[in-house]
Amino acid sequence: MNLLSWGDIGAGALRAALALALWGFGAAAYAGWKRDARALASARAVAIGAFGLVLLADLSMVGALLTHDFSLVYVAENNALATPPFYSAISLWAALAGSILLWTLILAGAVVYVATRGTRSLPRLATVALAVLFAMLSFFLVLVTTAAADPFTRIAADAIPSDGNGPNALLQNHPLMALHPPLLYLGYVLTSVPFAYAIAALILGETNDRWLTETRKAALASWALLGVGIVAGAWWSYGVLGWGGYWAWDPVENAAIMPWLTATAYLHSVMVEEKRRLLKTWNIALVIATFALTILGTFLTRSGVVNSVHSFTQSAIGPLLLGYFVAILVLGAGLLLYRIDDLTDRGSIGAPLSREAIFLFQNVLFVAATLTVLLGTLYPLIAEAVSGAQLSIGAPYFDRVEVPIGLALLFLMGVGPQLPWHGASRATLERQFTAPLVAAAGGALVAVLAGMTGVAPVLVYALAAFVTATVVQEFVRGTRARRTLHGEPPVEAFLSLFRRNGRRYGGYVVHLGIVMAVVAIGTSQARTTELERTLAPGGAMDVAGYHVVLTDLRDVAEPQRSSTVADLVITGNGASEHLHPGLVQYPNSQQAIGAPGIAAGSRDDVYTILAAYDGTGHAWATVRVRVIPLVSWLWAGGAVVGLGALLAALPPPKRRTVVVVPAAVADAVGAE
Amino acid sequence: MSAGSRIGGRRVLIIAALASAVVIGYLAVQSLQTAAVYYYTPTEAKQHGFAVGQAVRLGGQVLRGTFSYDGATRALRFTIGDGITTVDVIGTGAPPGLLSEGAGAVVEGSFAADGTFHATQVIAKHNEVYTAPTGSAVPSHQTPAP
Repeated sequence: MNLLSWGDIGAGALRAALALALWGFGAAAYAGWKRDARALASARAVAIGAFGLVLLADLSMVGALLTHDFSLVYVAENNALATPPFYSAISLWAALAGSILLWTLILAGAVVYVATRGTRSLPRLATVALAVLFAMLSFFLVLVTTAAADPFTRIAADAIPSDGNGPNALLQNHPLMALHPPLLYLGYVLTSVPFAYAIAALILGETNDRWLTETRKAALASWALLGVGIVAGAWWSYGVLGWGGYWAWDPVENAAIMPWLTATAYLHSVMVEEKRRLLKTWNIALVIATFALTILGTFLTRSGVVNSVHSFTQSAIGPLLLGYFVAILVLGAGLLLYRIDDLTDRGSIGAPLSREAIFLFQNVLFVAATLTVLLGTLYPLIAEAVSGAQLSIGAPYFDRVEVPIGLALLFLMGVGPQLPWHGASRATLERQFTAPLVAAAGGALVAVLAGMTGVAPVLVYALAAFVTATVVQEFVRGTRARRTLHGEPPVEAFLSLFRRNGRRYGGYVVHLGIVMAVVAIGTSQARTTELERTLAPGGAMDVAGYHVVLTDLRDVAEPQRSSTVADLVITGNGASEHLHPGLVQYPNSQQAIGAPGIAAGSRDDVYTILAAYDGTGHAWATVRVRVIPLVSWLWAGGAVVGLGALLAALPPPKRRTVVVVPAAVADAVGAE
Repeated sequence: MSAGSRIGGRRVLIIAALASAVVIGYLAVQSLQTAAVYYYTPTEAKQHGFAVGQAVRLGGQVLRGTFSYDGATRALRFTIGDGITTVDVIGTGAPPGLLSEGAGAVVEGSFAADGTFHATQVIAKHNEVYTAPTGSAVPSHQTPAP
């Protein structure tokens, strides 16, 4: 044996990091209180040291997984000798303790960011925010150094297994698993930066909007990472779970979507505070709610409480996370009430047809969506706790409540950016909405002609066309204005829109991405065709214009798994594809995992599943084929949302000269 | 921004926000009532003693190693349990894609004379997507009839 094992290094690093984080908390708090420069310097150094130690611990875990060090419980439970290196490495986040370890690393990174960058631009505020972040980091370091989520728990020397259990079968079946959890965790953790600044602003009574402009990028980044992480998760679920769907309203998904919803509300309401100095209290409340929801979601999904209120105490991490959540709420709400007099808005939102009014209304809907998702997620628990009734709330509840809210939000997405601040005149309304309304009618017509039935799908198309038209109109007018003003050629004029006002035009790109995703969801939900047949080799079935032939049924052996694969040939609708859906058997799982065969296309996906097969002589196979229209637009929409967020984060250009904009041009560019 | 007559007043905004909150609240409560799927755990069902053929919903965990589906006869079989009592479930047709061993399931149907449960509908009750399920807890009290 080596002198030092991975477990020794990791556990030692985490304990040292905890000591540093506690020191950092004290130093930053003292520096904020006494404006002590030496204490701040010490907090900065400690931040970097703590990050380095947590990084060392994370690398030790990856090292232990790659070298199959089964003396650690986590490795023995989540790794096996046959696990390929790629899946060994990403098993860092295959289970609870490792996930919390990764979470801690990202949080330590956020601490370094605020300690080095933040404290230079806004010294006092950032120093107090740094103390808040150090407190959070200490909490997570307590989790990973105690029984709650210690990833380096040892196995007694005489009980070390010769081979491990291997990662959860679902996790080693798809490479997207490398991307989806880290993106989500990045999104979750980055919400703590605006939260820490908001708490610092409340503590110091600096309730002007400096904390908010300072954390704009962190808020945007956390929102974008959460959004892209959610879409990546949907894609993973689609590619690996073999049910042909991508969203099931299950508690894990709800836990991710809730903070995203409040963060989306915040990104819009923050503009009302910047432009009109309104909604101060509301914005702080949204930041606190967003962060608290990330912790509530983690608590709900990691404590086992979702299964039953009675399984809550089975894990040590449950009560700790619940206590943390309550502490955040009490601290946030308490400070908010304490400073409520400083936060009173001077003006008020007047005209209902103004941008701020629509943003506020949109915020009400986003919060309503969050609360109704929360209600549906918690209702089984509430019912069990109150009356003892066992019940389950399924997708019908969420579909019935969230679809109308989503459609209303889609409508407002077209309306809000087209209205000026303060209020709109009739002339403005006509100028802004004539073309989009015509487009909406066209969209509805397309939906009806395409054979869509039901109110929701037709509305999706009408509203999608409406929003798209408003965005195109903005781009056309903006480009034209730049051509008139600067004489730039069309392409350059278009690109310089993003350079000059990335936040606004990046925002429009995000809206286009959302439209793509909504159209994909609406169409795939309304128009999926499914057929299931039991075929003998050589047999065929026809689904939605595709001819599917089962050519062979064969066994495939690999070191870490064995599978049975159906060879399918798909022809028709201009396609000619070979697909190989299978059932995969991992040694640590009794039941085979479905591995769908998917032919993805821009018009539709052919999604094939081997539902069952004759295990004795390969005489038959039950094949399920789903033809799912436009579903790949959902993933593309997610990418466009990410691109838009990047454009929105572009730094504004340095002002060279003040250009006096003629009134007519300003009017054409839009009502800013 | 163009000058001109501005439309509406503050009251419109407040009424619109309140009205949508009321509508959404009503919709949520209404949908909760209709979408809630009540069920008995196998232990509760045994204590209750349902008559053969009486419609009932059972909820529990699909026990490992009990799941089978025959594509030729479309016969589906698995056992659900709550930690104390187990019930053998027989159904027809391929199972929902999310139904898997160790995961939660709610089955709708009735008991046969031999004590097996004949399911007319199988609903996967997917709790967690990717953490290994732990043994489900056993409630210590009775569920009132739905």
